[in-house]
Amino acid sequence: MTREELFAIDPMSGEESVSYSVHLEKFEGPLDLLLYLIRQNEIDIYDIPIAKITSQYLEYIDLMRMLDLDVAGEFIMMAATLIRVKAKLLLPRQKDDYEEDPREELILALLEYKKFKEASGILHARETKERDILKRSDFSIIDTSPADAFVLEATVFDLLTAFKKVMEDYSREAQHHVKREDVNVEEQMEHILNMLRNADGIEF
Amino acid sequence: MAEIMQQDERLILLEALLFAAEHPMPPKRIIQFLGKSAKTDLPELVQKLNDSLAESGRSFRIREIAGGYQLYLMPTYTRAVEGFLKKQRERRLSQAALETLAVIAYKQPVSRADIEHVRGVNSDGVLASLLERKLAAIVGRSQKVGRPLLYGTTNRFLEYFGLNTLDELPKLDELVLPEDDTGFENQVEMQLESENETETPEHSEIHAQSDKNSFE
Repeated sequence: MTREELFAIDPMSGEESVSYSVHLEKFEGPLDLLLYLIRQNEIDIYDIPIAKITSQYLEYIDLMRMLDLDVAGEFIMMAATLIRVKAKLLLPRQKDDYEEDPREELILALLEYKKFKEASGILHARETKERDILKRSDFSIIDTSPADAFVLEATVFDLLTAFKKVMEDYSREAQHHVKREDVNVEEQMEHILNMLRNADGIEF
Repeated sequence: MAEIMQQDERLILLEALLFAAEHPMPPKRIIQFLGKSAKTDLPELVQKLNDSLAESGRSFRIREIAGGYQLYLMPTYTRAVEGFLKKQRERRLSQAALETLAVIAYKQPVSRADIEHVRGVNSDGVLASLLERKLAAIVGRSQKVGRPLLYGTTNRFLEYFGLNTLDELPKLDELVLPEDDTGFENQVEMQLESENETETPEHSEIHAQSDKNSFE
């Protein structure tokens, strides 16, 4: 898929409006975008050319800005990470030191994310298949699910939370025994003087 | 002879019970209804009922789902009755929701921070909507600092994705072929194909049967 296909900008039908409806390949996050770039460039995920990927990544973020899209903070953070990794790779390494590849953390994160993205594809396929199978509950005229769900889905944990809240409210309302304490100035003067006598200094 | 009669009666009762139930009926409740003898032969009864439904060319079958039994309409007849559906069907899940659910399903019990760590993006909103749709639920609290809430999948999740148990999901490691060039779509298809191969015989029979009786 080319960049041109990535962004298809359709002017909205309204004549006086200057706004555009923008359809773009939606990336769920920086990792998703990186995976896309890796696939597009046919790059080995275990040996990412950081410089190349970083510049493409930044290009993409510029493009998002140009289109007036909100660039989420995570995308910016990933840009910073990429630049940091790139900088680390430029630094000379000590020969006899088994230093880890600066890219390692990033690659592990990408591999982990990739697994779950694939798993989400399985779920998507199952969802599609399942929507074709109708059950009696799909036909109810009166939707009783909220009430039902409340009864069925409450777990022991819900119960404990509710119980805890009740107990907290209860105890908060009830027990307050306030005792009056008699304090006189002389005693307090004595107290402070004692403290000063026994210590080098006191912090207030 | 008397025994056979009795079994026929239990088959009818089973059908009636499943017809009345809106949600998958747990075996326990069916056994309460049919009597203790069903404890041992419930799967057999279900199989028999399914066979007889197929033989007489009916539009529905029984399947085991979300840890219970449920009547379902065979897909061939979906279009014919679609007009009677609830006015608003649930929206399909977004990619963000599917990803988040995938993390929850495989890593549960899991905290929001763990989900966000995997996805690399804030998952607050999407998690809230999954909780609202009862596809995920709070299952406890972690002992880690801050005692974060832990999330897991629900029975509704199993039902929604047509699963009987979580074990029916493919193993995470099997999903990833290192150095694969097949791409995402192909992998999903491969997965579905292998699933079809392992389909139970009576299921394929259902498809054959439904073709014969299709409305076209």
